[in-house]
Amino acid sequence: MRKILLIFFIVFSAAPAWAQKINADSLVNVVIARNRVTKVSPPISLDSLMKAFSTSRDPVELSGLMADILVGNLALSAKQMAYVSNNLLSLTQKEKNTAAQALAMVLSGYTTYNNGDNAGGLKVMFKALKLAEDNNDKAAIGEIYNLLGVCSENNTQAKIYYQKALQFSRASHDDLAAAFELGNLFIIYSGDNKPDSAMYYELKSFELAVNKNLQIVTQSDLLFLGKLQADPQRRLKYFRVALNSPYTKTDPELLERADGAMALWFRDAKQIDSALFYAHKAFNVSNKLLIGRKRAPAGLLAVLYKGRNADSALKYTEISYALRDSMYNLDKIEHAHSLAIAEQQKREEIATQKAADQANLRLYISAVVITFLLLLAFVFWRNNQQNKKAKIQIQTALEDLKTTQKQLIQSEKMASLGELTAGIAHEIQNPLNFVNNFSEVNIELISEMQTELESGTKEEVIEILEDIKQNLEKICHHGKRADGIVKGMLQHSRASSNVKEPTDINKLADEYLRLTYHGLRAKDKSFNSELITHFADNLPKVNVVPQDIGRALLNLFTNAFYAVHQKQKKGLAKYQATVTLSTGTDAGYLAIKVRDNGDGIPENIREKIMQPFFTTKPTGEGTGLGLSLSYEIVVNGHGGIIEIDSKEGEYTEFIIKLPI
Amino acid sequence: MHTKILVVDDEADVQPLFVQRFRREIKSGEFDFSFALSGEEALTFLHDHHSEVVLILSDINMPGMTGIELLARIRKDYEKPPPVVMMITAYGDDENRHQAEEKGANEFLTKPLDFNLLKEKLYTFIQHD
Repeated sequence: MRKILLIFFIVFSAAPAWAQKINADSLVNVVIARNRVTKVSPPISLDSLMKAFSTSRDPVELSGLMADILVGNLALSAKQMAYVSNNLLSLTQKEKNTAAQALAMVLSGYTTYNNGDNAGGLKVMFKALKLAEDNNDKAAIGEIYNLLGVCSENNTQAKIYYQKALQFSRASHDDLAAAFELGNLFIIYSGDNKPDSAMYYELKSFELAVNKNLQIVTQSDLLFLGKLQADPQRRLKYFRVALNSPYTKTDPELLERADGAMALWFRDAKQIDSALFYAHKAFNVSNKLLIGRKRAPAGLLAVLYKGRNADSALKYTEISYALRDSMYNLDKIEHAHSLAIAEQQKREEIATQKAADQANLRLYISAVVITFLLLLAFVFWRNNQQNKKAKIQIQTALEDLKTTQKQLIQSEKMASLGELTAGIAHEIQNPLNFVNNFSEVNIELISEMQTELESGTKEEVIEILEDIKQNLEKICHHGKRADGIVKGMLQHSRASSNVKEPTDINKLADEYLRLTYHGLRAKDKSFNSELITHFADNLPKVNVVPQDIGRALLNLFTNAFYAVHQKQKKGLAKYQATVTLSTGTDAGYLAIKVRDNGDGIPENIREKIMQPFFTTKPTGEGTGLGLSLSYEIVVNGHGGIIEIDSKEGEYTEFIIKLPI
Repeated sequence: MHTKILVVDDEADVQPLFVQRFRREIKSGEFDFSFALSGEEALTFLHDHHSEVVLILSDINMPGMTGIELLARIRKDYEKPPPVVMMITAYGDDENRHQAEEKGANEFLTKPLDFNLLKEKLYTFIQHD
């Protein structure tokens, strides 16, 4: 920033040196020569102007049209100006001519400003600037900055606007605008009491105007340059050249300025009548101009009449004050000024905001990315949690399943116990009946014997004693029989002790066959079967867990009885349900064969019958665990083998082989 | 005139029991007991001695032919004169009783046998004859 300021300083301090290189007089001579031949074409009609303005996309052409509207010889009145700018606004919008639209807007704002609504006007002008900037219409941006400079009450602010305007106008080769802007810079530097800088810009403007034959600027600059001339005659010459130019005669604004300049010159030369003449000319011409342009001639007239014509002096003073009040209402100035500052701040804020927005965007994108990553992490985390949960659930389910399996096995034991209970009751009832009956008979026999001893013969007593002895043997036998059954029942209901002991398989198998048979009979009275047993003599005792092998046998017996019962239900003639139990030895094994003449096992399910929960019984009747439990006991528990032999429609034979 | 009674029961010890319980009646010649260990055996015996047998006492729950089946055969094959058939069972439930009555049993007794009651029933049937 310091560097830039330094450059500016060098440029401004060096300006007078360059200014010397421009020969103003030779340029004035060019103008004088040109004035003799210049034919000024009549002003174009408003309609043509508006049409050309709204359709033109040539920045230079637009710049010329702008000059026509603002300062040109059309000399639009305030009302016309408002009319034109409003029309142009809608026309350019319709044409979608953004550059022209921005210019129409700034014209509208400028008109509003000059017609007394400073704040409202500036607002519209800044809007126009924004539009031009958005579309990057450089020429339009230059034009707008220039007008903003014109409307600035603050010289520093105006200087900045004009510099910017110049920059954009040069970039877009808009010579007319550039020449105006150089001239405007001259006005500012004059106001700032920097005559060297002022002169520099004015000469630059004049040089450009003459070289490019920019009539309006040429005449305007002549008036400015004239004021800068130290020699009154030279000053008058410049004013006259401008005043006598064919173009100036057609341009009320220039004319007003030229007349005004002449009036001031004559005032300074103490030729008051001439001064009044030109001042009146200026004032009359100013009626065609915007309010703001009327004040100077009115003020001059007021001064000129002062001390000569009180009425006229008062009249023009009032006019001047009225104009001043209308234009420079203090509140309005304050308002406009603050608005300009506010607008500037707003623009700076927008720039800051843009940077902040970009930072915010970056922050936002980062936030989005981080959020996304967090979300992703959360999803992974939740998946992981769910997996863990699922694993726990699976483990729990497995535990449950194991528990259920244990319970099922236990309930299978209990179920077989239930099946046995009725058989056991029957089995115990019979021996108990015998015990009771033989005991009763013995009591009778003993009293009989007492009678015989008193009166009878010795043979009778001996005979009775024989009977008593025989009955006691029966009592003893049946007592032991009941005892065996109770022991077996206890063994069955007791949880497996897994203690192997040498066991008489014949006895065990027979016991369980009878228990099973009577158990089933107790449940179903219609059931009946022939039982055939072939027990091999001299079988070695084998080391087994009796209640386990008993349970395995019980399952085989149950199945055998079930099979024959099912076949029995078919009501076949001459069918005798038969279950055969036989024992023997076979190559180092003790074999227990359980054969039934039921319907046999179909080939297709033979593989499955040892599987847990496989059952051919109707739902609710079998657990499907019987054979799998038998398999478990024989194969896994005792290192034995279970073989199946079956012929459909004829028989099934299960063979349990236990190692001897 | 002694009354010939056939006792059918798969328990062999029923024989000495009946002999002991009815020793006086057997001695006096009032009753004459024969025994069969199964329904099949009972039918064989009846085939040879049906005219002699007046009364049959049969267990229901036996391996092979059941007491009910035996009863049905007796009622079918031996109409004149129809022997008195008394059924004995350990399972004194209604279904067995109903079946026995349906097949034409004269009496239904449950184990354990009350021999005094049995004697009374036997006398009733004999006198009735």
